[in-house]
Amino acid sequence: MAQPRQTPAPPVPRWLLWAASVVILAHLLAVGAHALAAQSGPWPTPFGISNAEPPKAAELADKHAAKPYLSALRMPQDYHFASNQPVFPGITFEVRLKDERGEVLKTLKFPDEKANGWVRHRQALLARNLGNDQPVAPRQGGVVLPAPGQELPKHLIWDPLDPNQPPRPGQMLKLVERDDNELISIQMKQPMGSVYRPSEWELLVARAIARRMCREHGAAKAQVIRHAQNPITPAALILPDPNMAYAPELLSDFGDFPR
Amino acid sequence: MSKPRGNLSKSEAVRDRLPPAGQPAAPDAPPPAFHEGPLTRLGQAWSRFWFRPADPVGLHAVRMLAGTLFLCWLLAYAGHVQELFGLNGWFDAEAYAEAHRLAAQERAAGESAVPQAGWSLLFAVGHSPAALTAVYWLSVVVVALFTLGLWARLTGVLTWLVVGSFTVNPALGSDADALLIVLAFYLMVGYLFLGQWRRGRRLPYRIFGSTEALLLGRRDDGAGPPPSMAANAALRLLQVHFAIILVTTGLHKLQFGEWWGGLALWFPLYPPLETTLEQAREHAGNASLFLALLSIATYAVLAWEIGFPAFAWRRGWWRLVLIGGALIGWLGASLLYRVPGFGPALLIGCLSYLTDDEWRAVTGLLPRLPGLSALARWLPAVPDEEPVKVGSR
Repeated sequence: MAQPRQTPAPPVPRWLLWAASVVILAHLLAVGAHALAAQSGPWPTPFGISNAEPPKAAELADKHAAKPYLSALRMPQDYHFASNQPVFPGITFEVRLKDERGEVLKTLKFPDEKANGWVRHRQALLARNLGNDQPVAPRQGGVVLPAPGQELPKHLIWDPLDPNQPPRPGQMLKLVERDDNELISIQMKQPMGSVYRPSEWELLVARAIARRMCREHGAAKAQVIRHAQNPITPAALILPDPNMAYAPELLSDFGDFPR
Repeated sequence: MSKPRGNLSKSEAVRDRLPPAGQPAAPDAPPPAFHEGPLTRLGQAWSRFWFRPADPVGLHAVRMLAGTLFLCWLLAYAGHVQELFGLNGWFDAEAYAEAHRLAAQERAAGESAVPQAGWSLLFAVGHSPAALTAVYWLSVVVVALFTLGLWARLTGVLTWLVVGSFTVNPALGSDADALLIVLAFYLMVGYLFLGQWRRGRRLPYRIFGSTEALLLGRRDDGAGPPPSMAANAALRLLQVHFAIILVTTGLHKLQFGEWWGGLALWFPLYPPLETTLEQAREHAGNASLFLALLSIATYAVLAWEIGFPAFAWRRGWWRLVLIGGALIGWLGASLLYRVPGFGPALLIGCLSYLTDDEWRAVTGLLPRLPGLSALARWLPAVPDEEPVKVGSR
């Protein structure tokens, strides 16, 4: 019969088991509280589609204890995985590297078809950061006059498409700056909620991409262009006109970023 | 303990290797504490679940599998280390600084949409390509040593630091990263405490660990490794955390109409920018049947994830649901969602639910496979007088 080769361990004292139990319980409560403390939705509400706040108890526990603790352990995830969201536009990007005069030296596309699957996946995740446009809140009221000696604040928006024309394949959106009055005028011509702006995060990532490409290839500036397409919906199987379920690829020009 | 060996059942034989009844190390003995008080039964169940000393073979097996995954994950980025992890890469030092400012602004406004970076060892070397490359290859060595089980106490901590450091980039965060860090963390906890309660161990053993965790646990005297409370507690933590992850992600899916409508799997099947309208309409002739099958598959995913805690700890045929579901999940994550690493991490998480007996059965089979007989001396003792009843409770 096989025998244990080591001296049996001494009995574990009760206080240690209690302490371990408290640590285990606190740790798992932190994991649970952090998962619960994520916003849910978007849900339909009387005021439109909106995210719902988390339970207050979970939110407080998360803010004051769970999140700092789990962040220190590098486990700040709330397990609301991005891939859970089924309808997400496909996004890739291209970078046009330019010299001082604006001549295109090279065009690179990402995700890189030649990279291995793991690297391509990371590049796809990077591209996904460029697909977080935000709807511009509707401006109310009439013409706004600037304060004496000042200009109206400018807003960076995607120059909207003509609402009377269907989007064309390869159509390029441009980033434009518009003041409050121009924005009101644009929003009056567009269907509700169809004027979008890039999020601050998108712009941050676009600038970072441009810097990296310029550094690596010695270019003076880089133009970042997003390729995006909404997914074809299952309605394509049953609609008499399947084109109704199909949206063409749309290009969005973030502009030239210097080195 | 006085029965002749030939009459022993599988579980009795395994018990024979454990300390005598009454000692805290006996797996089926009353738990070491919580005998009294008004919540006795709950306390005993709690104690049995968390503190029953277990054969560390399960911890070793999960370590080997997870370590192999960490190695594949790290090595896949060889040649792309600067762009993915360097402070001159896709997300450079300036971007980190901007993100920090943006997060501060959002916090002041009561929002939190900007992903935040945590700590990373790579921040110390990210500016220098040579230093970053050196740290990367050092990390590969550390993870390889941990996978093999060498000085697992030290290499476990270092592996957790490596996994945490290489998953820090907020613009490149993958769903799989969350599972990798969970695996690394609980393995580290397990090896930090494994064997610490034993008498007569020297300081280097207590700090660095030893080679006794090599592969699936050394077997140089014919006996298996002593049972360990730490091995059990670490695997239990991993199991419970994993169940929380799967239920949370299952419930999160229910926040989207496409999952309720049974159509969620359509979208990864026909990804935008790659699918033509003609391809998407390939099943237009039998649309009802196709959509019905799709909805069954979608609901199977939801049922598996949300119902996970109901079957994960059950034995017998439920193991097919557990492991089969994980294997299908691997296929789905790799082929449909194209998230490398997620599927293997999911499978390893599910394998962590196997009991000592089940792991012994699996490891007992390994040397019988062609070409693997040399493994026998590295595996824990397996009584071979009776076939293992994996399905018995």
